[in-house]
Amino acid sequence: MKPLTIRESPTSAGLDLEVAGDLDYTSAPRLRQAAHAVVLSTGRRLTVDLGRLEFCDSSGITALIAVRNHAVSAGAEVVLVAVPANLRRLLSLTGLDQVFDMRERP
Amino acid sequence: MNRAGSGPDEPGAGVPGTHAAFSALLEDSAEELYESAPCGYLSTLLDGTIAKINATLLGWLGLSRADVVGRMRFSDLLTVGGKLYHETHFAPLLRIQGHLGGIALELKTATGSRLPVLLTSTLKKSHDGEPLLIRTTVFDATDRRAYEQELLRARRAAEEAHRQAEADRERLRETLQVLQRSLLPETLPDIPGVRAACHYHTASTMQLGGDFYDLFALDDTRTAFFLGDVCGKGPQAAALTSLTRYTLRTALLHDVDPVADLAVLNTALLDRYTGDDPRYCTAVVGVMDRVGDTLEVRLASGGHPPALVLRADGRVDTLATAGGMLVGAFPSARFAPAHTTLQPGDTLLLYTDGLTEARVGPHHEMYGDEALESFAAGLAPTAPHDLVDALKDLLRGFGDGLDDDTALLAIGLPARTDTGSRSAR
Repeated sequence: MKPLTIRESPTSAGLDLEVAGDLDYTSAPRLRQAAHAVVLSTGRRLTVDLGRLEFCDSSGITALIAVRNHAVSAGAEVVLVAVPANLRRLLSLTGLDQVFDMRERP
Repeated sequence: MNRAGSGPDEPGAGVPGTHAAFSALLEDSAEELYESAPCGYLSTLLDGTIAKINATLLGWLGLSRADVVGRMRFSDLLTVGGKLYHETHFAPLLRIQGHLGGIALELKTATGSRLPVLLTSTLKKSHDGEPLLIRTTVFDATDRRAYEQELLRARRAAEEAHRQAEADRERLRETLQVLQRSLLPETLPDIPGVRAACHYHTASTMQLGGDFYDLFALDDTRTAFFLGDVCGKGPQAAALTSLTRYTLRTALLHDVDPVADLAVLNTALLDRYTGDDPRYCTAVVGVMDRVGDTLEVRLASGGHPPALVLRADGRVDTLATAGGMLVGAFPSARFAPAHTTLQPGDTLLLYTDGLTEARVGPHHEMYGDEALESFAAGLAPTAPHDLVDALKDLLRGFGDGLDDDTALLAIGLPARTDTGSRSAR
C-alpha cells in the first residue's frame, strides 16, 4: 500500500495534477476534493498525470469520472497522461476509453 | 473526616551534638507524636481489650478516651463482617506470625458511618517470649477506597459500554444481512429444462456490498437474467443496487432487447444522481429463449467483465462485449450486445470483478481474466452447480486477497445423457 499523493502544478494550458500511489476506496475522496478545489475556466486543460499511480479500483475510477464531470461542466477539457497498463485495461473494460482523452507523456 | 494535624518538625533528630533545646523538644514531642500522629495507634490486651488509643484514632471514631479504654474490645470497633474476619483470620494469624500488615477493614464510627482503614498489627512479647499485648497502626484508607471504587465504577462503565457496542454491532450485522439478502433473489426460480446456480461472497459482514444478480421467467419460453456491480460500498451502494435491480426487472418485462434495457437503466441512474456524485454500475443483462433443446442467449454488457461459456466439448468461449460503457455515468453511453447458443451440456458463467481482481500470490498480483479462463478450461464441461462449487473453493483459497464482494451466476442446459432440472444456490 502506497499512500496517495496529489501534486498540482500550473501549465501553460491550465493545470497539471500528478496523482501517485494508491487510488482506492479510502483515498479516492481526496482526488475528488482536490479536483473540486481547482478553478477551471472555458478552454483550459486539466492534465491528470497517472504515471506513478500504483493501484486504482472502482472507487478510483469514480473519482476520475467526477474529476472529468467537474472539468467538463466548467467548459474545460481533461487529459489523462501516462495511464498505467492495468488502468488502461480497466478503462477499456468499462468503456471509459471512449470518454477519456488518454495520451503519452509529452 | 476529622484528621489530626501533623506533629512539629524535628530538625536534626538523632544527630549527635545537636543543641540541647532539640533534645528537650524531642522528648516533649514523643507523646505529642503518638497522640497526634497522622495515623491511628491502638494497643490492646491479648483478649482484645483496648488499653491505649491515640487522639487521632479517637477523633476519627468520634469517641472519647473514657468510652474506649478498658471498656471496649478492638472487635467492638469493627463492622459485623469485620468482626468475623478478625476472629477467623486476623487474630489467629497474628498469634502465629507475630505480625500482620496491610489488612483492609472498616471501622464503625460513633455516628454510624464507616471508615475504611488499613491495619498493621504486631504482637509484643516479653523477654521469655510470652505474648503481652498487641500494637496496631490504623491508616485512613478513605481516599484509597474512593479511588478503588472509582476505578471499579469506571471499569464497570467501560465493560457496559463494550457490551453495548458489541450488541449494537451484532444488531447492525443482522440488519445488514437482511438488507443484503433483500437485494438478491431468495432462491433461483425453477425453470424447466434449465439449470442454474449462484453464489454471493460478502467481503465484510459490516459493510453492504454492491453486487447483484437475478434470474426470472418472462413467459413460457423466455427467461431473463442479469448480474452486475454498483460502484461504492455501504448504504449508498445498497440504495443504488435496489434502484438498479427494480429498474432492470421492469425494463426486461417491457422490452426483451438487453441493449435497450441497459439504456433504460442508464437514464434512470443519470436522472437520480448528479455529475458531482456519479453513481454507476457495470452489468450484464440477458434474455434466453428456449428453441428446441437449445437456449438462444442475447445479452448486453455495460462495462462489465465478459461472460464465459464452458462448452460441452470442453472449449471455453469468451462473449466479447468490449466497448460497452458503465451504466449511469454518461448520457450518451453505448452498450455492447453479444449472442450465443447454449447447447445441452453448455454452461454460461457471469461473475463480478471481485473474482478477477482478487489479489493472489506473494506479490499480490490480480488474479486476472486469463487465469479465470484457464481455470474454467480445466473444469469444462461442467454443470452450473459444479462450476459454482469449484469457484467457491477458488474464492476461499484467495483468503485475504479477496477483499471485494463477488457474485456468481451460472446457467446451463443439462448434457444430453443427463435429464431433469435443478436449481442450486
